[in-house]
Amino acid sequence: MGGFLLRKAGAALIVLVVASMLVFLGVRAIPGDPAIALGAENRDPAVLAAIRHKYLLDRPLPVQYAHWIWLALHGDLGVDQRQLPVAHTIVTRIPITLEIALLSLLVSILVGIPAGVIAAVRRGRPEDYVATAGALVGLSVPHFWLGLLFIIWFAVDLHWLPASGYVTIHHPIANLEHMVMPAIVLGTGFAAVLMRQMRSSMLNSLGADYVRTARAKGLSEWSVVGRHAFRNSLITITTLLGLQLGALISGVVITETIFGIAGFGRLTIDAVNQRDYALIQGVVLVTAAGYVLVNLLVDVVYSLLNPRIRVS
Amino acid sequence: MSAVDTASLTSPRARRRVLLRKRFLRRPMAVAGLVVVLGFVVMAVFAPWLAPYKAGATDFNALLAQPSSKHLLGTDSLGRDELSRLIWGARASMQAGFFATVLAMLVAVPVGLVAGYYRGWVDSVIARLTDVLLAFPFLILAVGLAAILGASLLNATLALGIGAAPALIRVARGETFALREEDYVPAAIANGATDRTIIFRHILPNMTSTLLVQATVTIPAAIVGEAVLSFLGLGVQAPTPSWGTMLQDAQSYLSQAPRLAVFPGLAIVFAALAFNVLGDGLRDIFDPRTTR
Repeated sequence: MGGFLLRKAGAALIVLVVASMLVFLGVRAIPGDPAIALGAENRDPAVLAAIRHKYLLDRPLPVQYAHWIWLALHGDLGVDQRQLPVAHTIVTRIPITLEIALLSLLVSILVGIPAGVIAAVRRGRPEDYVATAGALVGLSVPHFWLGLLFIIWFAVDLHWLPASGYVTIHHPIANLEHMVMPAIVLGTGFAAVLMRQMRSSMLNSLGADYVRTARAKGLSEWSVVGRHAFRNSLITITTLLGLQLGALISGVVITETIFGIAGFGRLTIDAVNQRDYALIQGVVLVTAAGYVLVNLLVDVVYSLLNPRIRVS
Repeated sequence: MSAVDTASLTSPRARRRVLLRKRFLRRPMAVAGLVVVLGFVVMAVFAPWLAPYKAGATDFNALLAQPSSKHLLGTDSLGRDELSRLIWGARASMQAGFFATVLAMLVAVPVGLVAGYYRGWVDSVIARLTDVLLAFPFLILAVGLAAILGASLLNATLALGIGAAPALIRVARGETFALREEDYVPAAIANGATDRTIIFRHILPNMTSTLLVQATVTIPAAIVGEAVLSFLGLGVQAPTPSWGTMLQDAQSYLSQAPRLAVFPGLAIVFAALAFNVLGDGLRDIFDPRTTR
């Protein structure tokens, strides 16, 4: 177990280091002289040289990289165009995004897992067809369009929910009102993926020998499905969570843009539109790091659920 | 199939083709998917002849006009014909879907073949590199590329292709892993075949059906991806029509003209759904467990 985790952590670290190098080189590949940008377009050679010296731009790339990582590890991602610390901006935006992501996961789990189980248990019956067709539609409808439709229906026509914006969690009811549409919009895609995966892995489990044994023992159908088949399907779901994380991150960016929520995703798009390179660099680095860490977490949970993984 | 025409087809490959075609035609959903897919391709290729107006043609006497005989789906805020823009917009979608998938395949298939065939440290290194790629979700990748190279359909397609590659690498690797164990591999080695011959003449042809199914999944994902990127301003730039930019424009008129937000979205859904349904059908007919 310890060895397995250590190996996984080592691999994650390597991935993180290579990813950070890519981010670093990517930003260096952006055309234009950063010194001129930092000096507010002041082209006086003395000023430029001073800036280059201050930000180590006159040093070799490996030194610059090491310096950047050193500062990043100490929570310093530099300052953006408005001279605000990037790390601080990111830290204030992340809770908003986490809330949307977690609520949407909740929505997709509450919809996707029961739908998949029901479709598998009632295979070939109307319930199965409805759930399967629903999942196909859920997969094919892009979130951002669903978001626009929701705004038209629930905000413009029915006036049930606010069309956009974010209210802090200190006002729980208003906060939830603003979160309902984003969470459902972001959750549908993953609910569809979950449903399909759950259905096929449940069908596999239901056909397995241990399920037949459980039935032969005279266990109730509820116990066969719930305790035997369902448990084993959960392992697949954990893997899926890790695999879908990228889609979730992309989805958050889109959802926040549509619903005008100033979270981390919106920050990403704003950073590109304003060509704020320090911000882009910070945002992309944090995304990659978050992705790697969550995947590591998924691996740990996975190994806890499935003992066979630990030894192999 | 009757015994007579089975006998007349001596080559096993021809027999398999006939079998696959029969299986395909027995699946109305898959056939419908193919028809809709072809419809979109025709729309994209023949847009200049099919669209009633030019994509950029403005009619200032009909701004945000309701659907009429002159403008079947109405007009947008600049008086541009919605139907024409939908038809022209198919071009960006089909281009992105097709080229992103081709790019992803060109990157992923050789890498997956090498990883699955040689295994060992080669496989480990490739697995780590795939993990690195996966740490950049396609949207973040697109954000980065747009920052470095500027926002355009080409760069959006690049981002979509690179973003789709890791999943394909894993599929190609897994498939190669399994195919390597087939009896024809040692047979080829005994015949003195080089690794290259085995990989490209024996393993690759045997995974074409898997790759085809993967393509029908990757294309709709790229079509939706292009729409998303264009919607966010990271893809096709105005005034070039794309379903994504049309939705972006529509966002400002959700209360006056909600239909502008409906039609381009429906186009995206139909295109994606058609490819997905076609893919599901292909997966079924290639599945050796399928009996019908």
